[in-house]
Amino acid sequence: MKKLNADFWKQLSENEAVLLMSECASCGKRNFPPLRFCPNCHAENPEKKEMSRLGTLYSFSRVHVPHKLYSAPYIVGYVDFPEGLRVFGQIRANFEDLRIGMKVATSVCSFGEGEEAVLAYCFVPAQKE
Amino acid sequence: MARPVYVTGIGMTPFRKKYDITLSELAQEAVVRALRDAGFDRNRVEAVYSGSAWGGPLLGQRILRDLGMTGVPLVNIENACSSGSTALHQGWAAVAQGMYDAVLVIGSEKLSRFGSGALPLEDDDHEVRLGQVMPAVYAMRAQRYFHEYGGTPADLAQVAVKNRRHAGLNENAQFRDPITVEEVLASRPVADPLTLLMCCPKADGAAALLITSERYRNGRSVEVRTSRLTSGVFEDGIVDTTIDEITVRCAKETYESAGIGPEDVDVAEVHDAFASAEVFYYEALGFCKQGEGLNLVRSGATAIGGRIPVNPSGGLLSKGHPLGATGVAQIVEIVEQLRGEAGARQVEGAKVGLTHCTGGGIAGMDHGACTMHVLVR
Repeated sequence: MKKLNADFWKQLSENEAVLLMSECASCGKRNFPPLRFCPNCHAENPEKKEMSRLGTLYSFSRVHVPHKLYSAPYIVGYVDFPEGLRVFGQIRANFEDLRIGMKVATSVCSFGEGEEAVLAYCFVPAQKE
Repeated sequence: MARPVYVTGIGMTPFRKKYDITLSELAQEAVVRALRDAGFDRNRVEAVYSGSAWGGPLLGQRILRDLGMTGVPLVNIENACSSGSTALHQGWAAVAQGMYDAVLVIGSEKLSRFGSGALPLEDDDHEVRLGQVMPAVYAMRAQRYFHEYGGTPADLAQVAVKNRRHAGLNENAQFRDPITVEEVLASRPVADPLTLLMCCPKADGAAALLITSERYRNGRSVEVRTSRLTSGVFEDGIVDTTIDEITVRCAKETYESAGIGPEDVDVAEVHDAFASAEVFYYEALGFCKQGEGLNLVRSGATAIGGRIPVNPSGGLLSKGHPLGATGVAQIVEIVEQLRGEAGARQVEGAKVGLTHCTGGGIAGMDHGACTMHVLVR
């Protein structure tokens, strides 16, 4: 199945994934998604490193006017990681269960059906992993 | 040292859901109105700056060809929702620096081509591929704002109600019938907590300005005291999204270069693409302290007749948002206010007006662009 943003993450198991950041060997600057040049010192191809799998939900919304790849409603959010990076993604959960500040885990979700289906990283409430 | 710059002519078409004429024909109406407003000979226009987000190649040439205004320096400008206000900034700079004495600025857009739903974003953006849409960006900021400072969707609805009341006094606005807080909350959900009536509608429309130096100034000219343009700062770290960094930064530059503070502003047109955005901009522009934006709208201070009327035109929320035209139409409104020609929506005694127009959103930036102008009588 086609992977969205395939260079940004690795699948670990059926439901587990880990995000990849770039970390510059020269100046230590970290970025998600990983960049081709360090934005701080322009060193080329900074090293890719795995991020923590658990993050904190910064904010979220349920979308009713979908992007063309997806069908509404779906939930999106920003997740803050201990590496000091904030990552956008879709969240698989009951909307009513979500709270700002809760722990979420990096997971794998499929979107769409048949030949159109794609895989991407997503976030799920940590206790339900 | 920059020379004084004036808005000497203004023109716009009403903003409507759909016009059955082409974009260039629509823009021509605004251009002719601006030249007539100034009583200005078209042959004296020395350069043209045309802004549009989706106008396509050579829009400025397509607009001017049939108006017999060809053969002058002409620049076509794209900066998302700030396209028109960026065109003004470029025209202002050219006159201020002494290159020209009279330039035409045009902003125009036909969004009816996209049908319903959120505007399409570029799929080379990694967040967009995962389902990001503009209403969700603003919805998540609003959700976080409620978490930090309190507030409810009903508070946001008051912004929409106020701007609709203003639009009732403006025949150029797309939606003019009054609405209630209950109706705003009951309208269909777009991105929780934002409902349809908290989101600006798409529109077709055009606006144009004749910008001059002292040489062509007349009794109805309004001075552009300052014009600022900046772009978004890349930030993928942990930041407070309830503070609109680009507006805070642009406002600081604007107030400093105009030699005024927020307390000196009599009337403002701000980029209320979503009801929550207007609240954030009250704070970023210094009209109230951080976290007090909802109190400001509840108090009535930002309605016509209040301490600092915001969006007397009806704003993007009720006027509609034809991207490239929006920033230019904001100037049309402020010029009418400062001339004392705003009729039923006149802000009494307005002498200093401010416009604020942000542009687009991409991953890692709160907005792609921000422009602000201060006009004085």
